[in-house]
Amino acid sequence: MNVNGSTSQQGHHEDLSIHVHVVDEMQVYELTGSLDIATSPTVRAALVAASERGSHRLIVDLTRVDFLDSTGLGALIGGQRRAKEFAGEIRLVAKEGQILRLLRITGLLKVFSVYPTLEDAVGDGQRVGDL
Amino acid sequence: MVPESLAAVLDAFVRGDLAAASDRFASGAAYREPRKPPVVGHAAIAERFARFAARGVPYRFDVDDVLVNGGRACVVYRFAEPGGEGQPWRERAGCATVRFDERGLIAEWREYEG
Repeated sequence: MNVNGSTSQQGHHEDLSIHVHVVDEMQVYELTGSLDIATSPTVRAALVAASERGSHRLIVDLTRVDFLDSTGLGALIGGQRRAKEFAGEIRLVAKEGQILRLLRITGLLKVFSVYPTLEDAVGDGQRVGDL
Repeated sequence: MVPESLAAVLDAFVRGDLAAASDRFASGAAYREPRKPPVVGHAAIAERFARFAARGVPYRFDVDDVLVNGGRACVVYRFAEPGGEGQPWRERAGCATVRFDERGLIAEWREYEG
């Protein structure tokens, strides 16, 4: 896996930070904190900005997200909708735990490609099963 | 492109025409709301919607996003009800995952709020 380009802080809220870096030509949005009603506008704005720049193949790394509510899911769903309009996609990274349970419960594993590690997401490797 | 049945349901929800909304659910459909037992079957869903409409309480249903992926869709919405005398409306955000049957009718509507 080749990490290239500079890491930048694209968004920041008291409860959430977004670091963007490039791995093998895919933009990775690494979120840390809570993705909820207070912070989801920041994430939505970052994903809209990516789309407006022509970046339609993104990875959103949720490994360091400790809380995700329906508005956060809405931001991700909106991002996926925009990406798909340009034949792109948003891949998610989520490890076993609360966030992955939520993605299962809501049926979103059928809508997003979800990977257990960033390496898997970059290489379109093993996906999280819907079991 | 949003399937015709889902577009019709969303339009009916927005207009407050819950009878029209229930018409787009398949005979064996499941309607799952948070913290409530699932409502299964077209007749039961129609009855559930009719009971809700019979309360006569106004509501707002705003659709923020719809993502369609094969035989599934996600709806990002906001639902609001009056907050009581002199109080602002209470709005809550949610998303629903929707599954369709082979005829394009809604086979499952599963809401998540919180």
